[in-house]
Amino acid sequence: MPEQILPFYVVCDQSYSMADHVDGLNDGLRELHRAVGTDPVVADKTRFCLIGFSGDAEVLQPLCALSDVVGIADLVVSPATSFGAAFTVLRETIERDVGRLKSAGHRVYRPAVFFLSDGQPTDPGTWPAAYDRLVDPAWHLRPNIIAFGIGDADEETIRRVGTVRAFMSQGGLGPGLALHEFARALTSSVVSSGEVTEAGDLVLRIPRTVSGFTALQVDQV
Amino acid sequence: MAGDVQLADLGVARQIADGGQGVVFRVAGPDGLLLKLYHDEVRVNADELGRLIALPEGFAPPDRRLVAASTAWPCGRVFHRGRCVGLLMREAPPRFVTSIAGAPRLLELQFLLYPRRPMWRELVMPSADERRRLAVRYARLFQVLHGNGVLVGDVSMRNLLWSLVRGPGVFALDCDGFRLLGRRPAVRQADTAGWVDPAARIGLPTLDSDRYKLALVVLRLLLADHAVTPTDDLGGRLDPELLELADRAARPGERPAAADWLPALAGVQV
Ligand SMILES: Nc1ncnc2c1ncn2[C@@H]1O[C@H](COP(=O)(O)OP(=O)(O)O)[C@@H](O)[C@H]1O
Repeated sequence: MPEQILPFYVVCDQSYSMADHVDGLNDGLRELHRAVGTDPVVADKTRFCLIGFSGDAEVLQPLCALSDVVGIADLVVSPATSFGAAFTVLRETIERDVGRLKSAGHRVYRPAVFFLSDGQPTDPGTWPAAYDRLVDPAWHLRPNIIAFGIGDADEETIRRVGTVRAFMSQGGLGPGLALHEFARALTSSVVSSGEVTEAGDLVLRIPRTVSGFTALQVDQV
Repeated sequence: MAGDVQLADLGVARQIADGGQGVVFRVAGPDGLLLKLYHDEVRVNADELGRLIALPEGFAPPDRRLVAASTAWPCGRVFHRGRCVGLLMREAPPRFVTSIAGAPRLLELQFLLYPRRPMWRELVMPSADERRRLAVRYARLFQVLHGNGVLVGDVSMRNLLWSLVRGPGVFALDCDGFRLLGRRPAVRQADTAGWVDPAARIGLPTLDSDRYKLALVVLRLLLADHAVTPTDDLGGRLDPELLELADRAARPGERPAAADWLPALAGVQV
């Protein structure tokens, strides 16, 4: 049966600097899975994909309804932080996924990306070009990006990556707690976006504030 | 019964849910009471809430018992700095809670309206006969509410619970949106998408629109289909008596009363 579908892509830094915190993040993603996967209405309207990146990027959980899988793959750390690899894989994945959903007759809404990094890109010269292709106004599938920076992430870079909202963790907040809040914000966004509005549409809802984070001003056009 | 209390007098509370209108906490103490603390922007009509709380005292005893057993009817108002900021209610009994993927989960109606998925494969689902008996329970609850001049208003498949433990049973949450016929609700309600009476004005429920929503509950529950409506072609999917009621439900002003469903649900095969 043709459905309205809002796809979420969660793109997480899994470079070595995440080693001490990746368990907390995996726990947060398991919570998300449980909350969304056991909510038939939301699971029906949303799809979830997990991409991990370090020196390269890989799809850890291919796009799925969270009620259809009983577990999602864990993030595993490895060297480097290539934003370019993340954005390139993301664009290819979105292109393929949305094509597949549409050919199955579904009405697909603009994908939402939750991007998380705790460091500075190790490919400063090349990632901007990959990013520009991802958000290219001529590409009709360009996603809405919500960017989160924790730890050593650079505020300016995070602001630049976010297209609709960007959040930078505050100094006092430990990375473990920051990741917990990230996962909570993500869960609440998926759950509240997964319910059709009275007008019969799906609308991406993102928390305005995330506890322990500063909301950055994102360029408006 | 809890009556009016001050927020500061409630024991340390643990959050259990964050809903559209408020955060729900378990209050410390032997009572097993829940506190719903409204979000700042929610306007609460304290007088209407007080009226709603007092209402069941005027019901006939069997109705009062049914409402007490099958709803989280508010039982107290919570004040802070002179303003009504929340309510107290009983927690849904354990038979309406299950465990999915290792965590407690309310048995919401929505599980019965979607195809089974791997994530809730452990859930024991009702047989066709149990679905029919659950439908009887929902119809009975609406019958008692309507009989006492109460409208449910917003019907959603998250706020209606079900159980098969010790026989089919149902339980309604989010009762602060219930209203007396012709009066305003204590808090403004949204209409849940997919559960809107096409003939009613948004946010202005009538007895007829409540009856329409009961028809959705019954039909969707019997047919295990979250999207079916009385205007769909249901021939072959329901027996003639239910088909006729569905047909009436499709016509504004002629929707079957809650009691009308009871004989039709009594012994039919779906
Ligand atoms: N009586 C109750 N027993 C158990 N859980 C409850 C009860 N009331 C509310 N909840 C939980 O809190 C959530 C929000 O409550 P609800 O009354 O629906 O608030 P809202 O109107 O803000 O959505 C519910 O979905 C449920 O998970």
